[in-house]
Amino acid sequence: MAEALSAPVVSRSVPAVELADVSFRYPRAAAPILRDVSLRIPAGTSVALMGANGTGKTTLLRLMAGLVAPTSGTVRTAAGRVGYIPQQVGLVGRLSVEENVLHGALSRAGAWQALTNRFSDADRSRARRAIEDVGLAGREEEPVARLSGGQRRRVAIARALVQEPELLLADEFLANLDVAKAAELLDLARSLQRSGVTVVLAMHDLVLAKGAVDRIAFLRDGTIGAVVPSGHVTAEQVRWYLGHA
Amino acid sequence: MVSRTRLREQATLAALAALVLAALWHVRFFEANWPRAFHNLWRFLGDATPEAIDPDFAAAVGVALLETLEIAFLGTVLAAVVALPLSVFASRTFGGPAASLALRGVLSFLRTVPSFVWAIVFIAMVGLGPLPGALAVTLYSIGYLSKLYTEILEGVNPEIVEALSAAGVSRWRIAQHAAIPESTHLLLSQTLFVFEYNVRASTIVGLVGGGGIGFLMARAFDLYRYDLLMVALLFLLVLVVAVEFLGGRLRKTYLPEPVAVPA
Repeated sequence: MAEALSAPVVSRSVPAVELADVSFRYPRAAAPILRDVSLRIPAGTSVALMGANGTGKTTLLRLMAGLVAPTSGTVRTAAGRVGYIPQQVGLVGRLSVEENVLHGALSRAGAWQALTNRFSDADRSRARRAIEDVGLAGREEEPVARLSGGQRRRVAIARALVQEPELLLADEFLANLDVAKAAELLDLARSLQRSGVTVVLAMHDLVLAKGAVDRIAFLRDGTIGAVVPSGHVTAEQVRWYLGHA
Repeated sequence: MVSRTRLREQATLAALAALVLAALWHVRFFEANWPRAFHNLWRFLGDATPEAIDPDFAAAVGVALLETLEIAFLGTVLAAVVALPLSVFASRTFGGPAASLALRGVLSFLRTVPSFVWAIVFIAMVGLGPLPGALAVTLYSIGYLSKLYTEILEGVNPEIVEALSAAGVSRWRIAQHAAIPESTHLLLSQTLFVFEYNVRASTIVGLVGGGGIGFLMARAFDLYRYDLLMVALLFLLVLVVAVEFLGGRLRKTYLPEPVAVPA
């Protein structure tokens, strides 16, 4: 299904995202949530950010998405179009699947088009294709509030596809999904990557991550302990990740 | 032995009682001749009890009530149309900090001035009648609805805003395409509430010359016709109860809370 996605030309030597000595402290927080984080994610590759709750994964994604600025250090995002899927996916429950997916086309719609809610035929067919790609064909008119957690995540992915992103950031990508549904979503993420999109997923499941992404970045206490190819995770790294180092 | 907390509670209660007594003294509650006051009330109720309802007056009351409804309806709808975009700019989520602060100041002023004062201003501009009443209710409601709308928009799930902001969608577009649709139920429910409130507010603006049932009641009062005043009041009571009942039914039927399937 997702094989049909169009493939932008990417060069893996160019970083899609580069963080250098990034620290971040939320206002009125006693301590920074991220400390001196450096990470380089080449274009067209995929990375899983792994760490326990509160280790700074969401903040790291929000920094990459440009939603917050670092307290110190620099974040460079070469990707022009960024698709961001928050933890609870950030969909409008009262609107239909298609209306939510069309939100991905809002940034390029003309002023009059956006004001009158009239999307171009090209955007509409792009949205239909994206809905098909994520396996929700036939459910275009259904309100998102009636969908299951996995289906909502698919809608969020379809919304990101309509943006034609160069960089896809997804927080808690597999949260509340059973293994079969999680595997399906990871397949989708992989086919996106094959089509040239740089994919960054925050997740918890090491076993699923190992087969699904190029590299795994382990986070603990606001720092990145190691960034390793997903096929070469050592027992020591797992222990560090689990907090028993 | 009495605990410190209990002592503090007793001291607070004593201070509150002293304040109430001081306020009663200040409003000359203790100087009033209460037996005479109740005698006066009895006499007033005697004067205000209508012996029969004059059909002509009842028809005039009907027309005036319709005018009151028109004032409330127009005032609410026009205010809603103006207040919704203003609320987007006034909200901290969608407006810039400076614009939001300035707009909040203006909107706060609009609702601080009571609707009957706005009615007096508009009467000075366009003369007596329902038009200044409708304008006064509109202006006051812009301030009131904006406050309610702004709070609703600020309560929209921040993840919706973040997902679209990251995609480069402007704040105004996020408000129009995501925040407002997501909050439709609450926005309509609060608008209906303000309409119900405005039926009463339209009566008040009528009392100072803004048309409707209030205007009729003021004329009856001027003529010491408390019986007519009572008839108008009874009809108004029926209207207010009917509007609130219908409002409740509308909310229940057309604006149910969205039921989400657990993720």
